[in-house]
Amino acid sequence: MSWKKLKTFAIVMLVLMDAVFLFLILQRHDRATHYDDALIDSATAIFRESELYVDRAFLSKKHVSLPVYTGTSDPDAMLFSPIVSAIEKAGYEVKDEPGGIYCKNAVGEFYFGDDFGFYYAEKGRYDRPSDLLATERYIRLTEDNAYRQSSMRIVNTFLEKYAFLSAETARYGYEVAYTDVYSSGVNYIVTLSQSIEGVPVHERICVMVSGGRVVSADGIFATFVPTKREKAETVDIMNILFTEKAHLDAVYRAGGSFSYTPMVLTEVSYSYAVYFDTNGEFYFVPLCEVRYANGESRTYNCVSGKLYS
Amino acid sequence: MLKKQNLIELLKTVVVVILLVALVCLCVVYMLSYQNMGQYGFTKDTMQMLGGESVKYQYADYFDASYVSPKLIGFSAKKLGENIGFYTLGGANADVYESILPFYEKLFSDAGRIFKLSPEEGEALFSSLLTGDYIYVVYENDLPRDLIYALSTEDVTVSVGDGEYIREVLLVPDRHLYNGVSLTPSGTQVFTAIHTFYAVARDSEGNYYRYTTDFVPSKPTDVSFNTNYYLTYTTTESYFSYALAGQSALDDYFLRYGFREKVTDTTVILQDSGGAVSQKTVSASRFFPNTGMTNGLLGALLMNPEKVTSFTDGAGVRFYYDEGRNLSVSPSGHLAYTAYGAGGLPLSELFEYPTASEAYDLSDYIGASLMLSRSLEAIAGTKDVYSLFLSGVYSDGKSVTVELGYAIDGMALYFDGFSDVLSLEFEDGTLKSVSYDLRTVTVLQDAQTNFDMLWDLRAVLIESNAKREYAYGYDFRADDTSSMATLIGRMP
Repeated sequence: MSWKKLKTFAIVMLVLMDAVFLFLILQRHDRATHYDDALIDSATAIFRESELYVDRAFLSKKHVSLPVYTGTSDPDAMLFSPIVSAIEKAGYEVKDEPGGIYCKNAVGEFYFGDDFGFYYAEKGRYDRPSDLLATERYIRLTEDNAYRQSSMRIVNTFLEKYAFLSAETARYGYEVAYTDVYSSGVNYIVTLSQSIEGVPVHERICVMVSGGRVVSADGIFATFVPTKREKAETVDIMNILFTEKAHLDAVYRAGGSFSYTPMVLTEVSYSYAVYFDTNGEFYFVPLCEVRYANGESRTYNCVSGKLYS
Repeated sequence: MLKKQNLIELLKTVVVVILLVALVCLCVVYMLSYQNMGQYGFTKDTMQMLGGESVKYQYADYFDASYVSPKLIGFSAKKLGENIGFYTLGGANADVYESILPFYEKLFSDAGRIFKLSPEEGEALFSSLLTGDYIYVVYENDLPRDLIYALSTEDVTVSVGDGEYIREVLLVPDRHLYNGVSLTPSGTQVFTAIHTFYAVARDSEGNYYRYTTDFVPSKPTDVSFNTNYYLTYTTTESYFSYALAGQSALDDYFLRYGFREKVTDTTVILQDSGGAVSQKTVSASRFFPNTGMTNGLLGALLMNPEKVTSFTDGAGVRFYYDEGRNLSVSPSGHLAYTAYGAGGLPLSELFEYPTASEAYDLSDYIGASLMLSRSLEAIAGTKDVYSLFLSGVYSDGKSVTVELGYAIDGMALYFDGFSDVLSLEFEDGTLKSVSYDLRTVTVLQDAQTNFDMLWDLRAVLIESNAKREYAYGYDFRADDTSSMATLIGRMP
């Protein structure tokens, strides 16, 4: 065979082999990131035995495997110092106490916990906005009306005043987003969430607006920025749904009723919860929340596979 | 034409090379896709560890050695046929205690070994050790040994479980290693008579334990029992000598105090060891909280002041009710929190991490108590005057009770003979009751005085079969509103 024909033959063979390996790699990736149809059919049938109805669409999607973000609580870290400086400038006395930092003046107090717990209240305020939201006194505003806009503007001004919305960003910096506004007819509660690379932190920050100003706030507000991202050994949605099935079976056995309560899965969402080790290193660990048509929901730790809340 | 053909051949060669490189890369990617499994930076085991550590992180900052500051530390050396010793009091305890902790690290940690002695063995051993060289440490009440170690080293990772309780510790020399001269960490030349060491400890119920270690000191900065100069391995400059000026100085000493013929046991006190001690006159008066303070107390116990139902009974006791728990405040300032049935304050709410109650160990209950005591204490005010200390820990496997007291300069405040001011009871991971006397503590007068310790401190020495013990503290009886530091004798 001539050299020219050899080259042509080599090109054909190489194209074929490249195509085969590419196909194998893509097939392998697809199998690793998706459940096959037979498994989905079997699983949904098993779930239905416990009156747990899961649409195929939830299991057909690509597996979600979120990383863990870690960092160290460093008082000089970029995000935190501007906040404390702004609060001091506003006339608050800052005190470093066991458990966190307290900032007090005659008007009110801030608290920044070592565990990212956050609290603000004017003097004489005891109700925490997050507790008030759990009551039925507050209704979610669905229309984007003037009250909603005004409440968000007031909260935004408050957050900017105390440098919570720092313009600087780090590699894994937080984005703050307003999620909802609730009204009691007199007062308003605005909820915000921080997110890391698009995934929200599980705990919200609730800010109460009354008389045209922010009067209290509480929640989890991460004041230190993660510096590292690690691949995490997570459980997938199939594992979580089987844990849900086991939970429903246990409820049924303990409840003594004649039949299961039908549970129709309507939403699966992901978020982050923060944990700390005794050295002060923090870890944002992914959570998975499953929500049902009847309003019930449960949240699972994606690494341990155990119930979070 | 020839040129075009050459160009085509050149292109074919380039394509072959590119496809070959692509093939190699695809092969590598395909093989690596098998190895990718299991290379996780964050695993299930990490998460398992983190769950428990997150709870401990909540109270890590509250773990402070001052909560277990001993009420007395004694040093004794057998010299010239006599035991010569002195005792530290109050504020001096802190520096000296810090220098004693290296002993604890060898004896009380996992590196040490423990032997339980029979009452007869323990009593005989304790009694004989009191005639020799020793360092004596005594706490206010029986405390878990591993808790003493954990709080003294401020290490929340020490798991405090079902170990033994102790109150008195004798650190004693064991095997003599060598004599010589060495330099302390600060560069002072000292004579050394270096020994290995062990400890004997007992609780108030007559249980005795011996603690040993395989550790052998090999350099001057290693912890050791130096019978010429105590504590020379430390950097706190707290070492001291028992070398006397001479026999005549000792004779003068005994003559001045007319002491020798009165001594029937074997310990006398060096004059210099008494020194000037800050002797305060302290007042501790009860008070009834105002509305703001009451709301703060309710908030500290996670009861919403705006949601509770309240009323005052005929005796003037104010009650606040909320969901299976209530808080009462008497006119005399006694606060009582009680939870009924399944009610109470779950530790998971206090720590903000969901954990099954079986997972809490004793240090978690102590941590919760220290966190709650800070928020309650601050409300009572004047916290800069006194400090809190752990006056008692009781656990029967189902419930845990933690008691805290007030101390000024390391000397406890006793109210009708009892040092506990705040008592918290937990059951199955939930706070079930709190008992707290609201008091305003102020210093009325502060004078420097030399305690005439000789007779007093002889009484402080704990004989092996002694049933009464003495301590310096502030003694408030009945309606006393003020007290000076005084020697208090009481049954342990």
